[in-house]
Amino acid sequence: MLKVEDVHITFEAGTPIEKHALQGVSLSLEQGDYVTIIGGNGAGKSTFLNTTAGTLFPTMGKITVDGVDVTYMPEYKRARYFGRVFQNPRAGTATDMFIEENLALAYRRGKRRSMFRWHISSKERSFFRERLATLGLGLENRLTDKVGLLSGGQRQALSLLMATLIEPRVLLLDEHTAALDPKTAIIVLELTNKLVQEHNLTTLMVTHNMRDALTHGNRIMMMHKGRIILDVKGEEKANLTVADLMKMFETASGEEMLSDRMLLT
Amino acid sequence: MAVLQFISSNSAIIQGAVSLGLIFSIMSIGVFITFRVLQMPDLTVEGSLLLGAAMTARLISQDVNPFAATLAAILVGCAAGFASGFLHTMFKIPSILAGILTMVSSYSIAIRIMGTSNIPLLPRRVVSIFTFLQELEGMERAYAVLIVSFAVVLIVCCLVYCFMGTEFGSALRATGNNQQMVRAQGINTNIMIIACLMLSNGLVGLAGSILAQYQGFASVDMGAGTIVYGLAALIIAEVLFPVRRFWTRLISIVIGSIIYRLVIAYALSVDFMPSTDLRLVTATLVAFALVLPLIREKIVKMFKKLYKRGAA
Repeated sequence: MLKVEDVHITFEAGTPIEKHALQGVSLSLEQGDYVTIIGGNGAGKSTFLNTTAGTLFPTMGKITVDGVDVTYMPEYKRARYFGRVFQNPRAGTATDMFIEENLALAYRRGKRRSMFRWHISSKERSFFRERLATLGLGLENRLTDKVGLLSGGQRQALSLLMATLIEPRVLLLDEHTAALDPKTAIIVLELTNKLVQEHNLTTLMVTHNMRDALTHGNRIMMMHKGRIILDVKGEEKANLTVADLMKMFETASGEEMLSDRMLLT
Repeated sequence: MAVLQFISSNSAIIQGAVSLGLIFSIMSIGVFITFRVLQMPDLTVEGSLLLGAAMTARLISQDVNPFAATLAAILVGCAAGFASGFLHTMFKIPSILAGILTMVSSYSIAIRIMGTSNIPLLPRRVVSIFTFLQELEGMERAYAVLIVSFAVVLIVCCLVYCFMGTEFGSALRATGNNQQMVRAQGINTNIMIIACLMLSNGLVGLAGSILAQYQGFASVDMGAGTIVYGLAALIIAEVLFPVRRFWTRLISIVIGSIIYRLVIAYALSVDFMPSTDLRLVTATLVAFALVLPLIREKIVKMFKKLYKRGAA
């Protein structure tokens, strides 16, 4: 499974604006773990996820998936292990292409793309229709609509489906509901839970929302200034409240939690 | 009226314009592939048109089979595309600059290929991809040119359509849309960009080759303005035929290219403008078409403001 060992990353090293964004992050996931990661702005949550996915490379440390060292493996190569959904609904799909074309692209994640095979088969088309129907958004009748015509919530739902179409070893969700309105965010989160449970996916979900972090998953982590300062799982996690979390944050970091966004949500 | 008169009394000019339109439409499809599909303006085309023409002229003047000479032009175009793609992806040189570098160096390379700054191919004596039809059917050269270019355009459209529909082509189209997503789907975007530039410039090299055989010479100033002419045809196509299916878009580009050549032929023959103004007029047309969406938006905003004021 995913194992991260003492990962450091420094941006703009050797300049006045140098930022030590990850300061020794370690983590070991077990099969079926559903981890929520919270933390304020600049805590390193997204940086950590991007380092895992290969968008960024660490300055130190080691990342392995099923024992395979992927620390410096290019992003496109390690995509075979990871399904990803981004915060920006535009980021996860090709907007000028049809829904079915996007799904067909995702259905070949980690495989060679042939110059002599058509990008989609009729068998795949009916499979995609079936999978889209499970979203309950009526997308199954819009296979040849361009993704650009979809709303943000619909796109995130499609991105989720694309990320799980081929079962990933780890599903990486980078605040994938943050850009949605509250009602849509709930729908997408429910869908996330459904897909994760259906396939028993190992999942890392970054979120700004403490309540979401508490109600979802079996394990919660809190990041602060590039470190994981809290890692609670199982029974103990299930009994946590927002007030507990805030208290734990204060003792762990020695600071008061000031982020309004975290308090209010 | 004047136009009708022009048509009836200038059939040779029209025939020539249609031939040129067909030949240049291959180039426009190449420009379309980079500019619209990959969404990356590529100036390499200026060089690859010249390289294609130079390669073909040199080989044909040395009695190489014209079809082999045409194939060589495609390959040299691909090589130019590879050079730009390599500079852009491996060394992170901005795509425009990478294209300019290849374009500038292809001037020297073309002279190396030709050994001189221009090679005349007297069309009536030297064989070309048109002559087999002339010999076979005893056809007039102008008709042979039309038929052969039309056939080539048809083949190019079919091949490009099929290629873009494959798994690889689909990944390529997505790369133009959203590179981040494409990488997350396990696709090497660098390979896609290089492949796209090679395909595009191979087509432009083919256009250069046929052009040289059509006009009966190759010279080092042939490539200049290629991208603007290509874009002009593309934009005429998009304005006149706002279609969305891929194959209809390809066909619309061919028609756009022919219309562009017809309009130019008309404007030149009625002394509307001297031929030296052609580049200025075309560039203005393209610039205007590119700012059109912005102007449209501004006008809509202005009307909304006026409407609000009127309502209050």
